[in-house]
Amino acid sequence: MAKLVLKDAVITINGVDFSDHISQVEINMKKAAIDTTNFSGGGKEQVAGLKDDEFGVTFQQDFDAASVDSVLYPLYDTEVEFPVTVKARNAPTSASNPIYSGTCILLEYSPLNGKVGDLSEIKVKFPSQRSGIARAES
Amino acid sequence: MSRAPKPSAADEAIRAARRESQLTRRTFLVAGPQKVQGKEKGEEVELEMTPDQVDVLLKAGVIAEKPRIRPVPPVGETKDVAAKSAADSGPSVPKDRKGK
Repeated sequence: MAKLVLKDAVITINGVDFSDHISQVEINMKKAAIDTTNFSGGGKEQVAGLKDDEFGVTFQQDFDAASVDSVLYPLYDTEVEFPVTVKARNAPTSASNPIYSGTCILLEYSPLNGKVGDLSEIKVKFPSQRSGIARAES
Repeated sequence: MSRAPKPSAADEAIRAARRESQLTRRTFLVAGPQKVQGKEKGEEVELEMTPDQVDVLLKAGVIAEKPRIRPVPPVGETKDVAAKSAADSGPSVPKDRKGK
C-alpha cells in the first residue's frame, strides 16, 4: 500500500465527528514495564504490566452550540465515560483502514490557550479506561 | 487519615457490567453542525449510549429528541375522543363560582 498522507482522518468523541475541528491526532499505546531481572543472565528482563493508552487530539476551539467546547466541557464536568474512535482515512473500516477505539475519560481540559492573533487551538488527552485502546478491522 | 480502599478488579468488572446494562438504543435527530455517526443535521441517528452520554449531547445541542407524533383519531371518531377527554377531566365547575 502507498505511504499515507493524512488528509481525511476521522475522529469521533462521544459519537460526535469532530474531524473538521481537529488538526492533529495521535494514538499512544503503552504498557508498564515490570522489572523481573534475576540472576539467570547478564542483562535486564521485563514483562508487560498494565496498559496506559491514550488519544491525544489538537482541537481548533469553537464555542458555538453543538461544537467543541459545548461537548468537551460537560464531559469534563460530569466525569462521564465516553467512546473515542480514530480512523486514518474517511473510508469503510477494513484491514487497511483499521479503527482504534477506547472508552475514555476527560481529566484535564484547558478551553483557551493562545496569543493574540493565534488560531485558538487546544490540546486534549483522552486516557482510556480499563481495557485500553482496541483495534478493529471491521 | 485513612484513605478509601482502592477498588479491586472484581469491583471494576461489576461497575463495568452495570454501566453496560445502562446502555440504551434510541433514535434522535442530529441538531448541530457536527456529524453524528455519519449523519448530518436533520437526519435521524440511532445511538446506543448510557443516559449520561446522551445527556451531554442533548445539553450541548448536538442531538435533539425526535418530535412525538400524536395519534390522529380515525375519521368520524373525533367527537367521541373529545367527549371522552371532557369526561376524564372531571365535573365542570361553574364559571361564576369563586374560590376562597
